[in-house]
Amino acid sequence: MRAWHFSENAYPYLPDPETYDSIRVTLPNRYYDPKIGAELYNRYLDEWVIADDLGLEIMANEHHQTATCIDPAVPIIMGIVARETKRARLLVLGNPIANRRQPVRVAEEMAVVDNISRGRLEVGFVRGVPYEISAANSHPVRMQERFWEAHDLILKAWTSHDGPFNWEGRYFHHRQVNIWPRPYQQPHPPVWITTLNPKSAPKIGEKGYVAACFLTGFEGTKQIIANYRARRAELGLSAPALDRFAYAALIYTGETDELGYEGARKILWYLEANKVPLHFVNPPGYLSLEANIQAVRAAGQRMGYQAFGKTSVEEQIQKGIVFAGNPDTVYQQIKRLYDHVGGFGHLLMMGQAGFLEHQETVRGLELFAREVYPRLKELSNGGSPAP
Amino acid sequence: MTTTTPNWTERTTLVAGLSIHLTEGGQGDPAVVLHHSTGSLGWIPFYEALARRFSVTAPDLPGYNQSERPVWAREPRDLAILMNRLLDRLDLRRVTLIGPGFGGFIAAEMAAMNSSRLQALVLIGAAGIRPERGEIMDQMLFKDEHYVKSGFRDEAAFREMFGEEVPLELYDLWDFSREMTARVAWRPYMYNRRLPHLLREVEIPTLLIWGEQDRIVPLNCGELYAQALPHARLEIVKNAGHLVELEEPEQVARLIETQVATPVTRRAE
Repeated sequence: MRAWHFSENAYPYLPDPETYDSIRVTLPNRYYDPKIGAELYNRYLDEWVIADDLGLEIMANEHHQTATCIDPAVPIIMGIVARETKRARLLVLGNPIANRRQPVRVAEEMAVVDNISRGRLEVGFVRGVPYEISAANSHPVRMQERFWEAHDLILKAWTSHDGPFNWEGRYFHHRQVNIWPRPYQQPHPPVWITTLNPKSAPKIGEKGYVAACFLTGFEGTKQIIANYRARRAELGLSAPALDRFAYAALIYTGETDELGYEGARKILWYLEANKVPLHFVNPPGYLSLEANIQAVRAAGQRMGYQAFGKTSVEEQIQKGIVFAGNPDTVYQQIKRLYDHVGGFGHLLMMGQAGFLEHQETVRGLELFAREVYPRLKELSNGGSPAP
Repeated sequence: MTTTTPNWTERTTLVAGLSIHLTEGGQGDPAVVLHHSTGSLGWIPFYEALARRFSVTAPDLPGYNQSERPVWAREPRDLAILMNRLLDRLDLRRVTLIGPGFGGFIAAEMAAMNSSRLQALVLIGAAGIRPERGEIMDQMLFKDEHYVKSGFRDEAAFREMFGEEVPLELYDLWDFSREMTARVAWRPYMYNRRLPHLLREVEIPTLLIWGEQDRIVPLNCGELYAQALPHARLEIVKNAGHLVELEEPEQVARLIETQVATPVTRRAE
């Protein structure tokens, strides 16, 4: 099992949520103080270097026009991390390729980071959460089609070495694709795809990519993994090893359960602060029509504010969204979900969020790395892929 | 609710392989009325008023209400071509083509391509031309209910039309319609930079009707239409918003009847 530290790198110093409609897309950037922000960027980058020193792997992502994540360009962040770290694998999860206008540019960016890191990059592609559509001004209809065409173009750009090719696609058009550099890793960096929905698992399984389950809890994750396996079996492909599956959770390890919970409570800001109205959560065409109608009816007269709202560490532990407590408690919680879903090879650990300060973050990472991680490594080494 | 038989009938016809739902009623010269991007509300009082003087055909635009959705469509011009085909299919001549809002954008595109079947063009708070002052209100940025409400002169007019509690079916309709609108009018939002150039030789008399308090499509768009079209006149309705034909059906119908009877055409100053 590999454990990957990540933070969305928030700017949490905001006015009372009562004073704004949405934390994403429309919150004016006058609430961002560059002096504070600059310190945050440097602190978050320091924490990734510390993760590298602790033997953890590293993950970063990007979001746009939001205080929940001040990294709108993950290639920049990962380029810095590539240069500053020595051994950690570097996971970009992910490039929002249905929103990026120029897939060839994505292929180039990833190739550069792969080279600077000397082949430590792992490349994730995401469709993106719905509010990213507004920020990217991208077309919400036909996102899935655009996503896969962009993926195809990027893969072709990475793996073509005999000079230019033309791409006359349905959604992308690019003459004379011929990227320099080409990726360090051959044939290309490992590919991951985030999936929140069991329905998207089969296609990822066909490709043999790593399926990253984000906050999908016990049942959702189990279903995603099952659908992935089933599809490969159906096609007569080899059974997937556990390293094809990743699970993301909010994790804080303390010396005691109390301290673990305290840290996790701060990390819960990630869920509780996500105030987003319905028209950003549900742009036209993002969901199927049936799902859309249900969402609109559920919201009814009020807007879909605070999709998660106030919650508790205990509640989220029950759901498998949070793992928190002392090292043994955290291990047991992870194992419980691990056993339920049939095992997974990657743990994506949101080890920092909101107001969790630097020292607290580092303490949590250290305890995890020293006391929990070794046992997790044994867990998936001892086990074998589920039938 | 009365117990008399309805004054309209419904049927479907096929255009370019797509099933198009039509509502028809009235007697007289043919009038074809299109609807807003939020979908058709059925046989509204405005159609009833028109039906006294015209044989009214109100199609559900392709992709809206009960008309089949062309998933391949990418811009309003695609829908306009389909609607011109509908005029051919129904073999309508000397048509008074009426379009409010997004329907007006479609109607203008139709006329730009082929006005041989048209007697008159009526554009009501029509989208389609980029305003020089102000912006066309972007429905993609707001909750559907807020957007529709902004189409009225005030909240009271909205409540009068839809009641204290908006029926769930309307939420469904607005959401369903919004997806189709996104398919064809996402970018640029609700206008075509080429359209004004293509209207320069649309000779048929055009009546432009704008609510004075239109908060969705600026009055400036009406002025620009009047400049682009060779025979156009802009009529401003006082104390009315974007949905002027919902707020003042009788007045708007009368303006249209008068225009068709005695076409007055004059460029806006």
